[in-house]
Amino acid sequence: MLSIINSSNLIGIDAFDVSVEVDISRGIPSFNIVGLAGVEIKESRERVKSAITNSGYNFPNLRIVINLSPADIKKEGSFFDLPISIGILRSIIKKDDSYLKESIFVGELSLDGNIKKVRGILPILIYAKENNIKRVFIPYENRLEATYIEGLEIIPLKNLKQTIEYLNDFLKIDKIDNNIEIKEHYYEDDFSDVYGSYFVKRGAEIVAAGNHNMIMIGPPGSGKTMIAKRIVSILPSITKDEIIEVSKIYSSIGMIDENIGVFNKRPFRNPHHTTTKQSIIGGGVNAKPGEIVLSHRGVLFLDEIAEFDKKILESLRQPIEDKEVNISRVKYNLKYPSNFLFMASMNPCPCGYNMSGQDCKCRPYEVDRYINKISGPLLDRFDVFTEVNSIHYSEFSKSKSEKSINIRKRVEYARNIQLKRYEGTNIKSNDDMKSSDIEKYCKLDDNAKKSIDLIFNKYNLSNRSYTKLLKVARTISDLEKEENITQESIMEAFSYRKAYYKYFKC
Amino acid sequence: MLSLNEAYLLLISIPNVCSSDIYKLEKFIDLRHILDIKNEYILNIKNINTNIKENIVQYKSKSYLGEVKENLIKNKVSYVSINDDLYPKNLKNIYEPPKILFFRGDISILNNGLNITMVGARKCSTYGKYCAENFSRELSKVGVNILSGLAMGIDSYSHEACIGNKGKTVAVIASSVDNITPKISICLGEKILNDGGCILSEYYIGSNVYPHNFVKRNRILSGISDGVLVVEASQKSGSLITVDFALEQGKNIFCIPGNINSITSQGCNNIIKEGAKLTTNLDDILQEYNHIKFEFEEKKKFDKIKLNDYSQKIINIIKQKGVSNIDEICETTKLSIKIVNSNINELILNDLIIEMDNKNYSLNI
Repeated sequence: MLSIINSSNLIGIDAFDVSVEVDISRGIPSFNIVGLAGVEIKESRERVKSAITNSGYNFPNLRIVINLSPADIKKEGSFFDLPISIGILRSIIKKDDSYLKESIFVGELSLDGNIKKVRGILPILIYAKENNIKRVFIPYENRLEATYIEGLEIIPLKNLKQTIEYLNDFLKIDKIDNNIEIKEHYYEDDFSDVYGSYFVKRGAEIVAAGNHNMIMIGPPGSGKTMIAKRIVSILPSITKDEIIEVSKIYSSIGMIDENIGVFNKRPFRNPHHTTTKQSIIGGGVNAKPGEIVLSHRGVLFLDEIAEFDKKILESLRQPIEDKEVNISRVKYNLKYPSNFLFMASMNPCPCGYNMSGQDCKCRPYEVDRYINKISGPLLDRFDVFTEVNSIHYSEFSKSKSEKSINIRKRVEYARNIQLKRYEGTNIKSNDDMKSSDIEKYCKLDDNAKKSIDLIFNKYNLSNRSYTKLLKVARTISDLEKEENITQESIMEAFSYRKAYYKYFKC
Repeated sequence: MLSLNEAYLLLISIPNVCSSDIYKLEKFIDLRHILDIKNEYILNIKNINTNIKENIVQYKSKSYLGEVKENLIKNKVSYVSINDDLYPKNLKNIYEPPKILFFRGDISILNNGLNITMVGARKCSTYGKYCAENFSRELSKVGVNILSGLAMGIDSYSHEACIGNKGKTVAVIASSVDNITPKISICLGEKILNDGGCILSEYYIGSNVYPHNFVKRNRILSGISDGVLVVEASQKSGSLITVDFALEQGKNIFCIPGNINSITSQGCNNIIKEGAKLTTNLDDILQEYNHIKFEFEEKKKFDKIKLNDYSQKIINIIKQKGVSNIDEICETTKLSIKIVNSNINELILNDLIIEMDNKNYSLNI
């Protein structure tokens, strides 16, 4: 007897359709799985056997062959325990084939018949919705992930017995109410904790408003990491679509908080500087997503960027520019989204105190070598350069500074202006502007033109510096709700470029 | 028989021979006949290292001289001998001046106008950088040539700020002219040459660079100039060696004072105590040379530029405190950072205030 049960598997962060074909025939009793199955799937034979008998059903003492089709794609993970056992027990299920055809089953079985959670439920649900599949049977523990996908019949299952009884209409299971509104995570780190450092905080605001990339330079203990950690709290609040997008990535690698079910905040990733290229970009045998993908729609913060391996830093250049990354391995060729805000921090020299008013113990060539670790092309990716200085003791006693929520309001306002301005184009924020767009969108008023001339003459700006300057000035003008770029914006924008001349251009 | 200039050139291009060896040789033999003198005679001269004597014996030949000349042309390096008119006049007055100077660029500028040597620490503070750039720029604007050693720090800043102005800049280096040390300054060297400046050295192409070369270089640096300006020097700075040479050679010494707490300015403050001229502006230097007439450009006056209310507030705060941090300005003026930020930048662009370390600002007087 042949029965076909639909299931699903993951490649990268996307799901694809797998039909589990179970054929039970007479012959010497055996149990084989074919169709490029991974180790986890091969092992599922034992789990399925025990789960069926321990749930009180008879395991057929016949020749069982299971084929996972399409047979030419490698399948991994423990998604198929449930569909295999349903296929074996098909003879005692009353529902007809058309019902099963419209359903997808995923789930891992434990030996006592309980259904355990699996990773990557969200991509499977998104796939099911896109392909007009009616219902999905998922493990009970994964039910929260399913709450945010509308238009699907989702049935959470606790164990195998319950499943069979449900399919025989003996039992009713409450379907998941998928109309819950997502609440954004409350960020505990708030900008009101940062005393003084007005210059850097303003820099952070500009960065958030224009989605620019920022590098902070300063001596140890001046609060660079503190500010970076708080930047997610002033970025525009994450939209529902973005939450699903991010959650899909996190679900596929099993990093979603079970109590919430989705990743309801902007990701903030700060990998340590000893990480490998594969963990940053992605890769390995299965072409897994790396840190740049995990920080999609959020912030990637490289603390002590000069300590990172130079090759890692250079490999970041292309994803920052394209906002997506292609990972090719023997078996896979995958494209991941990687639209993140790039932040970095570094000390001005190995000892950390160069040009900060304190005594620096480094030799000039050591400082040079340290600074040169950041290559020119990578530096070009940064729009905002800020110097961070340790604050005086007296600053601590001052009253609390502005709260993140107030800054965020201004940021969101500026982002809305940008969305309106770039309506109908590929551009989402000021950072996305290409040099050809700059003439179109960055109009200067008369005073601003004069001050640009003044800056040009004094500092010998390159063409690239000029476009970066205008981009940042555009964001500042948006924050100030000005239509054209004003003189003040140009002046302020230039102050966020000065550190570049101070530290990197010798 | 060689001409005297050729003899000097031949000797200085022999490995390990330095100008003091030529002075010693001159006492015993007529250098014009060096090719004809017997090897034994040279080897028996006292007071000269045997190695050097052996080298001289080995290399002295007409063909080697030809090779040297060809090499110089190939590397686009010129030379000037102590007997030539082009040779810097000031340098002739020091003890044992180098017989031959190798150079690139235009050496005649050294005999026109006033030459001021600027020396200072390689590892300088932002204050030192500011001083070096400011003084170099101001001096070169009135036509003073700026001399320095092409090292990192103060030297580089002094050269850089001079480029493009009326006065030219001359780098005296401790390696050969074709092999600029430190390597980081190669780019700056090209800039100097393009601007019509000059790079000179007493060492032949391909000579090894020894630490003592730098001390000898300092002797030329001070000897060639009319005065030495010490920008920033710590207690044990190499710049003070230049000062010692300058004192020996009877040059004027100017010194920019620093903060008494600052380690990088301790040497400066010490030599002021010992009698160097305390220098805070251009006139302090120029009044020592009142026999020369300088053409001044009109200077921007502090009151001439219209300041808006915010800028005035910021200027007042900085005036009150001397040096003020950006956070401090925000706190005391109660202005928001965006206003402070743009106004401070405007003030800097108009040269009314300067930025120092740690986002501190002070008036530009």
